Amino acid sequence: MNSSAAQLDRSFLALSHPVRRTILERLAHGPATVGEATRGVAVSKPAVTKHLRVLEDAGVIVRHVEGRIHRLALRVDGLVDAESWLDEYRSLWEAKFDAVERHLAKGGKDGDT
Amino acid sequence: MATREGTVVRVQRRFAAPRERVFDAWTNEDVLREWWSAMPSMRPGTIEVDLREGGRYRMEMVTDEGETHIALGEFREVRRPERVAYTWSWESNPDAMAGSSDTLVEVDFFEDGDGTIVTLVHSGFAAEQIAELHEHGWTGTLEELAKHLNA
Repeated sequence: MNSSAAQLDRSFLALSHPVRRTILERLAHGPATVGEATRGVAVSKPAVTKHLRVLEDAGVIVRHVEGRIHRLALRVDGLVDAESWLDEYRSLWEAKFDAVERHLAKGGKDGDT
Repeated sequence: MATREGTVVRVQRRFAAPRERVFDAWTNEDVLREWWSAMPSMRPGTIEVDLREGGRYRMEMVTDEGETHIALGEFREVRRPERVAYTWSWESNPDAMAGSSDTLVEVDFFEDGDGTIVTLVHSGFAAEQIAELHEHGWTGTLEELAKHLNA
Protein backbone atom coordinates (compact mmCIF):
# COMPACT_ATOMS: atom_id res chain seq x y z
CA MET A 1 0.00 0.00 0.00
CA ASN A 2 1.45 3.37 -0.93
CA SER A 3 1.68 6.18 1.60
CA SER A 4 -1.17 8.12 0.07
CA ALA A 5 -3.51 5.12 0.41
CA ALA A 6 -2.37 4.70 4.00
CA GLN A 7 -3.06 8.38 4.64
CA LEU A 8 -6.56 7.98 3.18
CA ASP A 9 -7.17 5.05 5.52
CA ARG A 10 -6.13 7.18 8.48
CA SER A 11 -8.25 10.13 7.35
CA PHE A 12 -11.45 8.15 6.91
CA LEU A 13 -10.77 6.17 10.07
CA ALA A 14 -10.53 9.50 11.89
CA LEU A 15 -13.98 10.49 10.61
CA SER A 16 -15.59 7.12 11.22
CA HIS A 17 -16.61 7.53 14.86
CA PRO A 18 -19.22 9.90 16.34
CA VAL A 19 -16.97 10.81 19.29
CA ARG A 20 -14.14 11.78 16.95
CA ARG A 21 -16.48 13.79 14.75
CA THR A 22 -17.80 15.59 17.83
CA ILE A 23 -14.24 16.52 18.81
CA LEU A 24 -13.50 17.80 15.29
CA GLU A 25 -16.74 19.81 15.20
CA ARG A 26 -15.85 21.49 18.48
CA LEU A 27 -12.30 22.23 17.38
CA ALA A 28 -13.70 23.84 14.24
CA HIS A 29 -14.61 26.75 16.53
CA GLY A 30 -11.02 27.15 17.70
CA PRO A 31 -8.48 25.38 19.90
CA ALA A 32 -9.86 23.79 23.08
CA THR A 33 -8.63 21.78 26.03
CA VAL A 34 -9.31 18.03 25.99
CA GLY A 35 -11.95 18.65 28.67
CA GLU A 36 -13.72 21.26 26.56
CA ALA A 37 -13.50 19.20 23.39
CA THR A 38 -15.01 16.11 25.03
CA ARG A 39 -17.46 17.67 27.50
CA GLY A 40 -20.70 15.70 27.69
CA VAL A 41 -19.31 12.89 25.58
CA ALA A 42 -20.24 9.64 27.32
CA VAL A 43 -16.95 7.75 27.05
CA SER A 44 -14.20 6.86 29.51
CA LYS A 45 -10.90 8.72 29.75
CA PRO A 46 -8.93 5.84 28.20
CA ALA A 47 -11.39 5.82 25.29
CA VAL A 48 -10.91 9.58 24.84
CA THR A 49 -7.15 9.03 24.82
CA LYS A 50 -7.56 6.40 22.11
CA HIS A 51 -9.78 8.63 19.97
CA LEU A 52 -7.32 11.51 20.26
CA ARG A 53 -4.48 9.25 19.15
CA VAL A 54 -6.45 8.22 16.05
CA LEU A 55 -7.05 11.89 15.22
CA GLU A 56 -3.39 12.78 15.78
CA ASP A 57 -2.14 9.83 13.72
CA ALA A 58 -4.37 10.99 10.86
CA GLY A 59 -2.88 14.47 11.11
CA VAL A 60 -6.26 16.14 11.60
CA ILE A 61 -5.48 17.54 15.05
CA VAL A 62 -2.41 18.87 16.82
CA ARG A 63 -1.87 19.15 20.55
CA HIS A 64 0.32 21.01 23.01
CA VAL A 65 0.76 20.36 26.69
CA GLU A 66 0.96 22.98 29.44
CA GLY A 67 1.46 21.08 32.66
CA ARG A 68 -1.71 19.04 33.01
CA ILE A 69 -3.63 20.97 30.36
CA HIS A 70 -3.65 19.41 26.91
CA ARG A 71 -4.85 21.86 24.29
CA LEU A 72 -6.03 20.64 20.89
CA ALA A 73 -6.46 22.33 17.54
CA LEU A 74 -7.82 21.30 14.20
CA ARG A 75 -5.07 20.99 11.61
CA VAL A 76 -6.89 22.64 8.74
CA ASP A 77 -4.82 20.92 6.04
CA GLY A 78 -5.32 17.53 7.69
CA LEU A 79 -8.12 16.29 5.48
CA VAL A 80 -6.79 17.58 2.16
CA ASP A 81 -6.04 14.06 0.84
CA ALA A 82 -9.51 12.83 1.73
CA GLU A 83 -11.07 15.91 0.15
CA SER A 84 -9.24 15.49 -3.13
CA TRP A 85 -10.12 11.79 -3.19
CA LEU A 86 -13.81 12.67 -2.83
CA ASP A 87 -13.47 15.51 -5.33
CA GLU A 88 -12.02 13.18 -7.90
CA TYR A 89 -15.05 10.91 -7.77
CA ARG A 90 -17.50 13.76 -7.61
CA SER A 91 -15.98 15.30 -10.73
CA LEU A 92 -16.14 11.93 -12.54
CA TRP A 93 -19.84 11.80 -11.85
CA GLU A 94 -20.38 15.43 -12.68
CA ALA A 95 -18.68 14.78 -16.01
CA LYS A 96 -20.99 11.80 -16.60
CA PHE A 97 -24.06 13.90 -15.87
CA ASP A 98 -22.76 16.62 -18.20
CA ALA A 99 -22.59 13.99 -20.93
CA VAL A 100 -26.14 12.88 -20.17
CA GLU A 101 -27.33 16.49 -20.31
CA ARG A 102 -25.63 17.05 -23.64
CA HIS A 103 -27.23 13.87 -24.92
CA LEU A 104 -30.68 14.91 -23.70
CA ALA A 105 -30.24 18.41 -25.12
CA LYS A 106 -29.74 16.86 -28.51
CA GLY A 107 -33.10 15.17 -28.12
CA GLY A 108 -31.59 11.81 -27.22
CA LYS A 109 -31.71 10.70 -30.85
CA ASP A 110 -28.04 10.09 -31.42
CA GLY A 111 -27.64 7.01 -29.26
CA ASP A 112 -24.53 6.40 -27.18
CA THR A 113 -21.32 8.07 -28.18
CA MET B 1 -6.61 29.88 6.39
CA ALA B 2 -9.01 32.26 8.09
CA THR B 3 -12.64 32.01 9.12
CA ARG B 4 -15.02 34.39 10.77
CA GLU B 5 -18.05 33.35 12.74
CA GLY B 6 -19.92 36.54 13.51
CA THR B 7 -17.55 38.55 15.63
CA VAL B 8 -14.83 35.96 16.26
CA VAL B 9 -11.80 35.83 13.98
CA ARG B 10 -9.83 32.60 13.53
CA VAL B 11 -6.64 32.32 11.55
CA GLN B 12 -4.35 29.33 11.19
CA ARG B 13 -1.03 29.07 9.44
CA ARG B 14 1.85 26.62 9.37
CA PHE B 15 5.43 27.86 9.52
CA ALA B 16 8.51 25.88 8.53
CA ALA B 17 10.35 26.85 11.71
CA PRO B 18 10.71 25.41 15.21
CA ARG B 19 8.12 26.42 17.77
CA GLU B 20 10.42 28.42 20.08
CA ARG B 21 11.55 30.52 17.15
CA VAL B 22 7.97 31.22 16.03
CA PHE B 23 6.84 32.02 19.58
CA ASP B 24 9.74 34.41 20.09
CA ALA B 25 9.13 36.11 16.74
CA TRP B 26 5.57 36.75 17.90
CA THR B 27 6.31 37.92 21.43
CA ASN B 28 9.92 39.08 21.84
CA GLU B 29 10.27 42.82 21.32
CA ASP B 30 13.74 42.53 19.82
CA VAL B 31 12.49 40.16 17.13
CA LEU B 32 9.22 42.09 16.63
CA ARG B 33 11.27 45.21 15.83
CA GLU B 34 12.60 43.32 12.80
CA TRP B 35 9.26 42.50 11.18
CA TRP B 36 6.03 43.60 12.96
CA SER B 37 3.72 44.53 10.08
CA ALA B 38 0.34 43.61 8.64
CA MET B 39 1.25 44.18 5.00
CA PRO B 40 4.25 44.79 2.75
CA SER B 41 3.65 48.56 2.82
CA MET B 42 4.11 48.71 6.62
CA ARG B 43 7.14 48.48 8.87
CA PRO B 44 7.63 48.31 12.63
CA GLY B 45 7.75 51.54 14.65
CA THR B 46 8.41 51.70 18.39
CA ILE B 47 7.78 48.31 19.98
CA GLU B 48 7.54 47.76 23.73
CA VAL B 49 6.60 44.35 25.11
CA ASP B 50 6.64 43.38 28.79
CA LEU B 51 6.09 39.66 28.27
CA ARG B 52 4.62 38.39 31.55
CA GLU B 53 1.11 37.89 32.85
CA GLY B 54 -0.19 41.34 33.72
CA GLY B 55 2.55 42.97 31.65
CA ARG B 56 1.61 45.41 28.88
CA TYR B 57 2.62 45.89 25.28
CA ARG B 58 2.46 48.78 22.84
CA MET B 59 3.40 48.19 19.22
CA GLU B 60 3.53 50.62 16.33
CA MET B 61 3.18 49.85 12.63
CA VAL B 62 4.12 52.65 10.25
CA THR B 63 2.80 52.83 6.70
CA ASP B 64 4.78 54.01 3.69
CA GLU B 65 2.73 57.23 3.87
CA GLY B 66 3.99 57.77 7.43
CA GLU B 67 0.74 56.89 9.16
CA THR B 68 1.25 55.17 12.52
CA HIS B 69 -1.08 52.44 13.83
CA ILE B 70 -0.59 51.69 17.51
CA ALA B 71 -1.95 48.53 19.13
CA LEU B 72 -1.79 47.99 22.86
CA GLY B 73 -3.01 45.71 25.60
CA GLU B 74 -2.18 43.52 28.55
CA PHE B 75 -0.96 39.92 28.70
CA ARG B 76 -3.41 37.51 30.32
CA GLU B 77 -1.51 34.25 29.71
CA VAL B 78 2.14 33.76 28.86
CA ARG B 79 3.35 30.18 28.45
CA ARG B 80 6.38 29.98 26.23
CA PRO B 81 6.41 28.33 23.76
CA GLU B 82 2.82 27.06 23.70
CA ARG B 83 0.41 29.88 24.25
CA VAL B 84 -0.02 33.58 24.78
CA ALA B 85 -3.24 35.55 25.36
CA TYR B 86 -3.63 39.30 25.58
CA THR B 87 -6.17 42.08 25.37
CA TRP B 88 -6.08 44.20 22.22
CA SER B 89 -7.11 47.72 21.33
CA TRP B 90 -5.94 50.62 19.12
CA GLU B 91 -4.41 53.67 20.74
CA SER B 92 -4.12 55.43 17.41
CA ASN B 93 -7.73 54.91 16.40
CA PRO B 94 -10.09 53.96 19.25
CA ASP B 95 -13.04 54.35 16.86
CA ALA B 96 -11.69 51.41 14.89
CA MET B 97 -12.85 49.28 17.79
CA ALA B 98 -16.18 51.10 18.29
CA GLY B 99 -17.93 49.46 21.22
CA SER B 100 -15.38 46.68 21.59
CA SER B 101 -12.69 48.22 23.77
CA ASP B 102 -11.44 45.01 25.35
CA THR B 103 -11.04 42.35 22.70
CA LEU B 104 -8.99 39.22 23.41
CA VAL B 105 -6.30 37.64 21.25
CA GLU B 106 -5.38 33.99 21.97
CA VAL B 107 -2.44 32.55 20.08
CA ASP B 108 -1.46 28.87 20.31
CA PHE B 109 1.70 27.32 18.92
CA PHE B 110 1.60 23.62 18.02
CA GLU B 111 4.53 21.48 16.95
CA ASP B 112 3.78 19.90 13.57
CA GLY B 113 6.63 17.69 12.44
CA ASP B 114 9.58 20.02 11.89
CA GLY B 115 7.28 23.03 11.64
CA THR B 116 4.82 24.95 13.77
CA ILE B 117 1.10 25.49 13.40
CA VAL B 118 -0.11 28.80 14.80
CA THR B 119 -3.77 29.37 15.59
CA LEU B 120 -4.99 32.86 16.41
CA VAL B 121 -8.46 33.52 17.80
CA HIS B 122 -9.50 37.15 18.25
CA SER B 123 -12.84 37.58 20.03
CA GLY B 124 -14.98 40.27 21.62
CA PHE B 125 -15.67 42.52 18.64
CA ALA B 126 -18.88 44.53 18.79
CA ALA B 127 -19.50 44.30 15.06
CA GLU B 128 -18.83 41.84 12.28
CA GLN B 129 -17.41 44.60 10.09
CA ILE B 130 -14.67 45.32 12.66
CA ALA B 131 -13.93 41.62 12.97
CA GLU B 132 -13.56 41.45 9.19
CA LEU B 133 -10.96 44.24 9.19
CA HIS B 134 -8.98 42.37 11.82
CA GLU B 135 -9.26 39.11 9.90
CA HIS B 136 -7.51 40.80 6.98
CA GLY B 137 -4.99 42.33 9.34
CA TRP B 138 -4.08 39.06 11.04
CA THR B 139 -3.88 37.15 7.76
CA GLY B 140 -1.47 39.78 6.46
CA THR B 141 0.50 39.76 9.70
CA LEU B 142 1.01 35.98 9.54
CA GLU B 143 2.14 36.42 5.94
CA GLU B 144 4.71 39.01 7.03
CA LEU B 145 5.83 36.71 9.84
CA ALA B 146 6.33 33.89 7.32
CA LYS B 147 8.56 36.20 5.24
CA HIS B 148 10.58 37.08 8.32
CA LEU B 149 11.03 33.44 9.32
CA ASN B 150 12.04 32.44 5.79
CA ALA B 151 14.47 35.33 5.39
